[in-house]
Amino acid sequence: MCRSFLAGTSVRTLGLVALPLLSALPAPTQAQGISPAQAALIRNVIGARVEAMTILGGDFGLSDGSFHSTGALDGMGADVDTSVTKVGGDGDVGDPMPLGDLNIGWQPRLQGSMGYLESSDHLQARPLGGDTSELKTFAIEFGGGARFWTSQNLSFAPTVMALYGHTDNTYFAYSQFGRQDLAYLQQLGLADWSVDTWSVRPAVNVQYIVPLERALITFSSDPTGFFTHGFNRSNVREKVGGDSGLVVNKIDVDIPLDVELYGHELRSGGYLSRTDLFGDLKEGLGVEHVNEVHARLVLDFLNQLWKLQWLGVGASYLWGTNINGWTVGADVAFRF
Amino acid sequence: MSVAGLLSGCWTVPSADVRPTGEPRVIAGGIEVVGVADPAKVESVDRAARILGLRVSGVPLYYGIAGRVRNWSDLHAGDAVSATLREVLTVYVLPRKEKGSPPDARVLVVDPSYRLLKVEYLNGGTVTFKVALHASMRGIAAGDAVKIHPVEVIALHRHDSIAAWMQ
Repeated sequence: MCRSFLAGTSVRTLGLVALPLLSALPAPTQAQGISPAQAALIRNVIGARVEAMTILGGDFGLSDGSFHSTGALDGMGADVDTSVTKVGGDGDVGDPMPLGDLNIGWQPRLQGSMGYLESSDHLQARPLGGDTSELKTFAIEFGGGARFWTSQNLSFAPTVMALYGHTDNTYFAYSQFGRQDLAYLQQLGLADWSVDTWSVRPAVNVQYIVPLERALITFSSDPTGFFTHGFNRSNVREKVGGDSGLVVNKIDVDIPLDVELYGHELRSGGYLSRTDLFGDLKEGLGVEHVNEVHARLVLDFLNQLWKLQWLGVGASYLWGTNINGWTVGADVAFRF
Repeated sequence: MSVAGLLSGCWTVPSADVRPTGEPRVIAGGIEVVGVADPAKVESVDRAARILGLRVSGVPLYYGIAGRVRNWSDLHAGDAVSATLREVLTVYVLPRKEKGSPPDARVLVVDPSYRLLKVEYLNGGTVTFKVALHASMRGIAAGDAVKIHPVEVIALHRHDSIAAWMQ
């Protein structure tokens, strides 16, 4: 099954770590007074954020939408707007085939995603108050693996993907301090920079399906790693690259409603999930975990229109560390 | 359950050769289904009676042509088509010593959640039917015999027109 959730309207509150660190420095140490250690610290934060933005912008495991943050880092003043537009999904191809003489079935699995992210940090704390640091990230990932069925209900899907991202930073200096020291910030690689990244994304999806009359209950877990390296840096001082991870644990319920609309059965359902973030992804977003409850109402098209399994609407409510919000959008699933 | 137990594997490949359990009986009759035959080969066209002869998985079958199907008047024997077919199934358990006419197919996979019934023709070809919403699928299992009663063609696409569209 291949699933794609296309978010429509959403507002989320998300803690984001970024250039606001600059404004947290005591005034005498700003800009030309920044010590190498402080500059390195800021570069580490920027590096983690680039990694996190690339994953948020391009990985199919995290949904798109519009995010809003009001500086969750030690009260540092920032007002961050982030919007992510993404299209992608994952799918098992064909029916399971026997794996040699073993009582194990297998089928190829494909996964892909492409997204664009824009994030604007409106700095509020002096002396950089009024400045805006803007990130634009394009990311694309593709990969696959196989799903192995050890019973009719239990399956494992190890996969490997490659994720490419390109991030541009533009610093808009409106404050007196910013205008005065912009050239030095650029020289340090803290403003107006760009970087490309590539990541290797190994993951395993474990899934157990419980049929209950006509309803399907699916328990799944997705431990995922990201190993990222930066290249094509506009400034040699930029430091991008590191390790990230996430684990999504989910219970999905798929319930046929015995009601037909335009020749297609209505189905209801949804899921409850918890996503734990690790490494640079956690640091870069300022989020430790996110819970999501999702509801959907869809029409069953399986075996009626190409490979489309269902089409309808879905809505989510999210809450967790430094994050809460909701999203509404089209809910589309394919089965290849 | 231990990890070793989970990984040892107890998955079984779907098979229509499973011997059905229980006495010979009709499990369900009058099951309205819709299936897609792709490819199907046109055997004959009776324009006056609006009857289309199709060879589906090697089996010759005759269908009425639904009023909403428009693009059939220039069909000829030998044309390859993709046909959406409305059919009625009878699912039953054969006596151990098969008497009378053989079944048209046997049940391969049953998906009651999405109302899908995948059957295997005697020549090995398969087709997946979408079962009508309120038709009962209770008791149907792999290996059950299936009698297919053709009803009508409800959508039709000529393969050459599909190829032309794709180009």
